[in-house]
Amino acid sequence: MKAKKIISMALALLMLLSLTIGCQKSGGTASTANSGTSTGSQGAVPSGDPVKISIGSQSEYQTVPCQWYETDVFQELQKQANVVIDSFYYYDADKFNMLLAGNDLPDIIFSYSPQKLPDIIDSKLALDLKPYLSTYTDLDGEAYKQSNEITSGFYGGDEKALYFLATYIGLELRDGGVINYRGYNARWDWYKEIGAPEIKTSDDYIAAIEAMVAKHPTTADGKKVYGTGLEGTNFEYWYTNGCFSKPAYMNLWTFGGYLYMEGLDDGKLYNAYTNLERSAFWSDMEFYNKLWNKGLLDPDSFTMTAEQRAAKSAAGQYAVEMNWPQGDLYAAESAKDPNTLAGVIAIPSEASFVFADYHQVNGYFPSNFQFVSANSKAIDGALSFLNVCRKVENQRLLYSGFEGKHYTVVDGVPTPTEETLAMRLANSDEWKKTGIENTCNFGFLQGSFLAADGYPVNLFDTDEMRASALNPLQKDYCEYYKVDYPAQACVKLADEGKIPSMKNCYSELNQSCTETMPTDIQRILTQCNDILFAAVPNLVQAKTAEEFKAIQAQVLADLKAANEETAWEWCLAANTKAQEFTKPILETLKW
Amino acid sequence: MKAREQALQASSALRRKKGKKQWSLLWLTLPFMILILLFNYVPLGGWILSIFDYRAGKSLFDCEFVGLKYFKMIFTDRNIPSVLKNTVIFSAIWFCISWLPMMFAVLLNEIQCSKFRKFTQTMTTLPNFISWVIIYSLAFSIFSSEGALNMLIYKLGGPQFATNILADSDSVYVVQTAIAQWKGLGWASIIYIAAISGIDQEQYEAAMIDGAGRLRCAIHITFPSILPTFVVLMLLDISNILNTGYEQYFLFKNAITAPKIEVLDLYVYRMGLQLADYSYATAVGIVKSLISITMLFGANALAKKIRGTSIV
Amino acid sequence: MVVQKRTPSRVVFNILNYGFFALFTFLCLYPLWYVFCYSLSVPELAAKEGVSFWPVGFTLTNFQQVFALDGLFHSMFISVMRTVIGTFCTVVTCMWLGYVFTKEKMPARKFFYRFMIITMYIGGGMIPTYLVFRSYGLLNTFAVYILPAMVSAYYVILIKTYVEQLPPSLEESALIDGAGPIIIFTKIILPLSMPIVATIAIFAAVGQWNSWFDNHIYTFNNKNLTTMQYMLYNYLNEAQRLANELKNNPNMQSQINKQNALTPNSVRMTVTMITVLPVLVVYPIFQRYIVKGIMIGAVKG
Repeated sequence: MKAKKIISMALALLMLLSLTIGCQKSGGTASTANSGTSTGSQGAVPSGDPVKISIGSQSEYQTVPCQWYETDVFQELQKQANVVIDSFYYYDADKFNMLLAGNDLPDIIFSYSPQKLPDIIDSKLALDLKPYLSTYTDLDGEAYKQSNEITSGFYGGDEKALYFLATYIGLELRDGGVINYRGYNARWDWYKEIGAPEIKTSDDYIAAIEAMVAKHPTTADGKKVYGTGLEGTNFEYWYTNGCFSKPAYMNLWTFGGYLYMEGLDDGKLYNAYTNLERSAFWSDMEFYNKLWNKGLLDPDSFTMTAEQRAAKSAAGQYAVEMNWPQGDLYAAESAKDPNTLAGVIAIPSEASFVFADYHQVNGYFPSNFQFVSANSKAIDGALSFLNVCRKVENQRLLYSGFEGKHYTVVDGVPTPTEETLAMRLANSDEWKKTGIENTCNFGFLQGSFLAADGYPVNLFDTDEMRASALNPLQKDYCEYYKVDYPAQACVKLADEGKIPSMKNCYSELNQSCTETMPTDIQRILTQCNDILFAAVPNLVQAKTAEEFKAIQAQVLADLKAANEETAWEWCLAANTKAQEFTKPILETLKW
Repeated sequence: MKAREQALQASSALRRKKGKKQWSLLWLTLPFMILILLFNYVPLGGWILSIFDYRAGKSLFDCEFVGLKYFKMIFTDRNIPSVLKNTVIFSAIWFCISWLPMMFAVLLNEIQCSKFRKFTQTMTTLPNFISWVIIYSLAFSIFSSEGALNMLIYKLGGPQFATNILADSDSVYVVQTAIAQWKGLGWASIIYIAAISGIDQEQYEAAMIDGAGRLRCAIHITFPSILPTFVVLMLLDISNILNTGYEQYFLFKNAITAPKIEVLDLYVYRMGLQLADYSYATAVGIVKSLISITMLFGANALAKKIRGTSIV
Repeated sequence: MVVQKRTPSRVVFNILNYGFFALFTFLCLYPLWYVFCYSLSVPELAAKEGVSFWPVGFTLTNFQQVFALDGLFHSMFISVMRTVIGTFCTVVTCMWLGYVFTKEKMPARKFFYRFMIITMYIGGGMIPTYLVFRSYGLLNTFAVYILPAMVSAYYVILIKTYVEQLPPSLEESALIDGAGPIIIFTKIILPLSMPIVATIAIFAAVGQWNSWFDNHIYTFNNKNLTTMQYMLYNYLNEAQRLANELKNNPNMQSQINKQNALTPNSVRMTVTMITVLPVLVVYPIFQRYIVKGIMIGAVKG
């Protein structure tokens, strides 16, 4: 017995020892790094042989036909920076945590885990870039100054260090992009067939769906046609549609997967769990309930995975798609008939918003960020590479390719060549080898950002380009609504003030300035989501309004029992604080 | 005098019976025990994470000490009772049909055509190699509202979307167990087939000569020979009452089946690991380990009482 | 097999028995046949029309694309190496332990047996295990595929149960002849235990062949140690990622060209076939030993 006790104590000690050895603080290296310059480099580019750097990412990148860092664009960037990316690792969340625990990180890391930010800061696992900014000036270039200020202010620890670099800063989806991503979608050929009725409310939408299905009760293969089907295994899809349609109009990304969302029109934080007047979840539940009771919702919606839903969509079994237009149907039909109009596209509607003009002041931070490991043995290489990528000219390179080769300046207007456009349309292996537009999270600016020559860094995203690269379905749509490219039809309504766009939404920016949610709150909210998810089938299949209300009341009671109020208090306070901070920033926005 | 002689004889007989311990056996085994120590016991130091608010990346001493917070959380979590109920029901059903692989092997042994027997034995192990993801998609294509089963019923004159097994909450336990059996039965029976092959053929010959039929051979020779294997595996099954794995349940879970299909491993996976909450996951792991070990030795003691010898 | 008398009850039993196994075999075989057909089908057609008994639109491109992966053949080599070496080490170790634990003369036998069994129910968690392996210097070495798997309590229990069934008279006669434990183990126990050796070998081999998680966590820094399973796992993830990207980014012109992308389902099926086929080829070899009961009577003589 005594022996056992001694043994177990020794084991515990041994384990403690290895844990502490494992997560040793990198305080030592941080102090030498503060000297400002690292060994062997004069200026921003290291001299001598190319420095080997390793990159890790929580996102997967192209490996076929060649690795992402072997593409022409990235080869050029490595050349400019005099580095060689000699290893690249993809991590999932568990592996990332393990590497953090063991302090085994590669030189440059791209992360999707906003929850890890406090840990990285506290353990000083990321390199403070501020001492290097004098040498690597593009890290803090004009385009990035505001972003760096915000990032170092909130996520820089006590010393307000600059640890993290935000990605995709700028105006996202300028004027809506080519097609509107969200809102009410419909199958274009069927929608035209019923006369393309105006959709001013969700009931209009349901009526349109009913009409479409009435005309086409089965597919050519004899399969039953439904109004729509949903990917049932993912809870998020059951409330996403409500975010972007009246009466909820809420920003899906305010608190990640949890239902506290800022309004798209007023920016106030709403509690979509309990606020029955304005809730993405409850309005969607009513909507799907109506669809179900008309027999328009595919019963497999409760059990399908994304792939299975896509297969049904490709078979032509759905008249509309929820949440965003997906290309499965069009891909299948256009293979048979290139001029087909059988594809799903967003309909301009006064009942749904338009996903346009989303200002990413601090990029996608805190959801996406790059940082350099404090323990890196190739700091000069890592910084050189990041520095080179941050240059606006190189952002142009990433998005549009080489000047002279992929685009030429014609009358002062940089224009992609015919060859390039054809290659891009074909999406051939040749195109993939160039690496253009495949920014691999090194796109620090949005494609709409204006380069020195006054044109956007992504030359494929100008109005002319958008109008010229349409497929037959989109062309037909444009003819019908008399616009140059599809998104304009919906943006028009926003310009007329009838529906909101993302112009007044600064959720990402607010998130940048909000404390990380503690695990306790996250746990409460995960349980709340579970409660809602479990209630979805019952709510959707409720036969009468009384039944629906009864289930609703039960859900609200369960939420209360799960301490949802505690979570709401925390989130409201955090969001209010963040909005106070960001208000002055918004007043100085340039665009 | 006689008494002393008798006593001496008795004690030396006893010594001979007990026999000297063979120390060479120990030395030859010790290296492997050290291996076990290094790979299985040393990492147990990680149990210490359960009393800290461990965040990956932080040194342990920087993490907040929380004492028994996570253990308390397990016991006060509103969802644990239903999750435990599901886990125990699945384990109980599994335990009740744990004799199936043994039956399978015995029946297979009765197939006389050796080509058919070998072919069958190989083929029935195949589902073991198919990943759960594929099994789910196969199940979907068979059992969904437009799947093969419903199509068949419709063709035979039944209603159009008659069954929806994957979205049926009442039959969850049975359906999941059936699918798991289909996947694992052939593979699990291998050990019994091996045990049967080890039976001395002379026993059968002797029994035949005495006029025993096939059934009596099976009952008196085959079963008793493979019974020890079965008893041991049953004991391990009892100890595994809370360990069901989560992959299968993760894939088949949807809003309708969730209340019944969420087992402990799946719940901990979602609550603990998806939130990178290693402290919580560790605490649950500790509790599960303690319960398993208790059940193991408890069942062992019971077996000792009943059979006279312990199993482990 | 002893010759049977043909009684009516026996015939009925035979019909039912054969019938049951035929049905069950079909139930087991069909899904694999489905996977096989799917892997030989053109991806979009398979996704749209579904596969029933035959490939739809026969094509070998699914397999071609896998075999065109950079480094696949080296990873196959690593997989084979780890399977062979790992299985050998595991079988020898577990057989030895399974034998030793049957000897009552071993000191502290019960203690060590329980010491080993408890390992089945305890675990330190992923991060502590990772840190411990790291401190042993096992990361990015081949040894990490072999060493932790050498002693498996489950296999030892099965072996011990089997060995206990062997007639004790054989051992006793060898002991009288003065043989040591190792000799007895190699000359008597092992030959008689071929069924269990083959069984454990197949269990261990399949375990080694299928494992990719240790590659993912412990050896991903060393490209030379990539196993085939891990490579295929990454390949499948790439396909899924691509499919997701196309789904979430409807603006990409390549929507039109989505049909050229391998659907994840096709990739999954192809990967399964590549993993299962070698097992199907190797398994019958083991099967011979599993069912080959050595005539103990003959050995006795």
